Amino acid sequence: MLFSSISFLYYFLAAVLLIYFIVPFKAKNLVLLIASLFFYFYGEPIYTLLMLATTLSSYIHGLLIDHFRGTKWAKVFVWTSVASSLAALGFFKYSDFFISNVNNLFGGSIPLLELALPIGISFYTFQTLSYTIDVYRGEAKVQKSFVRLATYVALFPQLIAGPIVRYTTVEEDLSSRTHSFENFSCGATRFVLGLAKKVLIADRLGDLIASFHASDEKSVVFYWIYAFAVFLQLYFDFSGYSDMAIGLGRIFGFRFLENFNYPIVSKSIAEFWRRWHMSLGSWFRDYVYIPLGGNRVSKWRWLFNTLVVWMLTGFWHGADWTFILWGLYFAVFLVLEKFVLNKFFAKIPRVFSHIYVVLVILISFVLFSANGMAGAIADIGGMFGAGNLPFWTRETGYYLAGYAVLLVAACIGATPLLKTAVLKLKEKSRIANNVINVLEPIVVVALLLVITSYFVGGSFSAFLYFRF
Amino acid sequence: MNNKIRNIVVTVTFSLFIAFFAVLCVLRIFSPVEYSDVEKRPLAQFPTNITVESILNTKEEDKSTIKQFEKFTVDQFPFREFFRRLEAQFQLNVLNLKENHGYVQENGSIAELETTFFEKGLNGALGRLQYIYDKYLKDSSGDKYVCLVPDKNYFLGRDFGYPVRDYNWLTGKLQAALPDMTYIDITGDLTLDDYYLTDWHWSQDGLLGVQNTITEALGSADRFETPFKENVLEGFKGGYTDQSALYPAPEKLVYLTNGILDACTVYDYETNKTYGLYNHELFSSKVPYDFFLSGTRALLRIDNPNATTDEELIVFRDSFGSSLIPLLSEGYKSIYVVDIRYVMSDMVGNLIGGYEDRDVLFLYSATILDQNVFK
Repeated sequence: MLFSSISFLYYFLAAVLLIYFIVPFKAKNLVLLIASLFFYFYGEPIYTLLMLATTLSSYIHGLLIDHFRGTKWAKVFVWTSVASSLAALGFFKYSDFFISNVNNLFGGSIPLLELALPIGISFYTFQTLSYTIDVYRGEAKVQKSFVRLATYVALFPQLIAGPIVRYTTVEEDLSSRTHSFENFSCGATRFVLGLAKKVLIADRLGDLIASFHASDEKSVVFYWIYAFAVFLQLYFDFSGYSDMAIGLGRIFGFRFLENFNYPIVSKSIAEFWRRWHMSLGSWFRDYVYIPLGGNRVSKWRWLFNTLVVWMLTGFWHGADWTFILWGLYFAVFLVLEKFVLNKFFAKIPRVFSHIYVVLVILISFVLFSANGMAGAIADIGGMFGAGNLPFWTRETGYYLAGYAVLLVAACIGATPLLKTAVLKLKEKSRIANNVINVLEPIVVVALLLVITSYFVGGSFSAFLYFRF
Repeated sequence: MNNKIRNIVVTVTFSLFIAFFAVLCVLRIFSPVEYSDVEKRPLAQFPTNITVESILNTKEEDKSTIKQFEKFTVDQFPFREFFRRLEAQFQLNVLNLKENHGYVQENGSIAELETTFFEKGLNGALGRLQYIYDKYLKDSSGDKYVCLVPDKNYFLGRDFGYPVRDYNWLTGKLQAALPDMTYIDITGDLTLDDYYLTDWHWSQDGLLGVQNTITEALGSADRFETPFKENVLEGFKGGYTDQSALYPAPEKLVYLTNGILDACTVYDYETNKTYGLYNHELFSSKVPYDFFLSGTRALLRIDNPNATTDEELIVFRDSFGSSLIPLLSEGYKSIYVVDIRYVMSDMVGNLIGGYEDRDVLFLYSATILDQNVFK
């Protein structure tokens, strides 16, 4: 089920809110679990069983690890837990990638499995992994209630597109959490803002991207407009989804960690990844990078660790060489920054480091969105005029003029300018705070009306991060 | 309003908003709307025939309960027209985008933006015109002409820089398909202003240049002497009014008359009835453009009792011809008006009795050729 749909907003959410706030606290987790399973079943009836099996496996492994704590069996069970979770992920997400590469390499003809990718499998697999590993490390208590653990894994606000919520983040909330007007109102506002980012900005930029692909009159400038549109669309789509997840979680009393922190203002690629998809970055840091030795190792070992982590980060996003290359592309810049660029940028005005980051990420997301390696080479080449591409065409002017307001608004919206201004106003003046408080419900209703109008107009589209 | 009250107000407002529409949505399950007059299509209904198989099927539109339910929720949403209108206004006036679901508005004129031709459809339509040429016209002694009516898209591209279909390519294909017919280019006689603001058709008062170009090509221009008088009907709501969800104000329909046109009669072969060139009753119908030549008719004959010639003309046309052909009446004793969307091409010859000495004009718009709706 899509958040950006009438069925979610006016059927599912309405019913869940009503039932959830009527039942006593003891039954709330069960209500959320049943609702979440229905939410998943609605989009993936058969794969609901896979998700339940993964959860059951984690539940049993958690109990076994706890039971055999201090013995070698605990280690065995954490490894079988990791292996079984990764086997399921590998089978459903990566088997065709490996088969086609084996076929290409050895001239074989092993038939592809052509399995449909279970929605959200990358997210919930990483969540269950974090649970069993944290139980093994003693950082989380074992969960003896299957309902609670299943509620954590299946929790519909974050089930299919993240953020990757660690078990330790919601461990306490699962057994006791606060329901208040403050939580509900902050959650509702955050949810509506996220929905607006997705429907009013990301999907509209998606129209521009579709027009670019359909165009026979591309130009160098059009390729750069496309690059901006791709980055901004991904940002507003994914951060919008994260806002919705965090907002819905808050309505139900859960506190999820932030997933985005205005990555466009970064001054280095290392900073960018501390601000972009933070839950994934921190997951790889805590469960792959640090166990490999982190940065407390020799220079060459650190280089190896970095390449492994970023190759896996790219591969997590999709079963294609472009994603692996995308991850390694960032690894190269992180290495360059550590040894060369940071020293260089420290000596020159800060604006140049911003320009550097914007250039690197624009190219990276063109690569990310490309249709295979050949498409990636063509798209990135187009940005630099490869193939005698004209600098400007009439169609470029049409689309630039048509989308100028949206692109400028999206660029401003991707920075913390508006949020900072509102917070400063609220802090400095009591009157301003009261005026903003009066405006907030009006803005929420106005946005809901406009968003609904887009649903009715039939212009919703699938979230981009579903395919991961 | 302090923060505490704000929290209560936002919570209540959000909850009431969701609850209000949720209740209306659920009520629609029991009392759905069956048909949308605005969109001219049946609306999706709550899925019936629910089986385990249909619930597990999430891919096939017509077999999946979930897909059918999704369609139902969108189609049956309360205040549907209000929301369609809100979306269009937000898209065009707040986000300042140029298109809303393919509709654009330029100088107050609404148009559908088309960027490609449906080549398969186009080839089919051209094949049908070739068939008519080979069957009826190849050996006739009359002159044969073909004229492409540019739709609004053409002007959006030519005059306003929109990315539109390649009309040069279309013209080339049309001429290549009918090499022995004389091509009449009327694009220089028209601008976007010569079309209705709220409809895809051209406005009759903007067609005098087109009439002159066509009659010059046909060699009948010197037979047109009587000046036209402009008449105005208020309250014309073209097809784009509702479809685009922009709901512009109604406009004027201007039609041209003179003594010659007033005396002309239109014989309808389908109904065996005789009308005038203009049908005032149909102006208040759902398609007010049907005012011209009584709208979509398979086969008509316009007789001009004051003709100064015995020459006859056969026009194969679509709806654009309805407003132009009356302006050609003065130059001919009779004009046969054929619409092969509604009559089989094979039957046309028997009905109008031969093509030998008659001039023939194919008058078709790009949109109709693209769709291949000929019989």
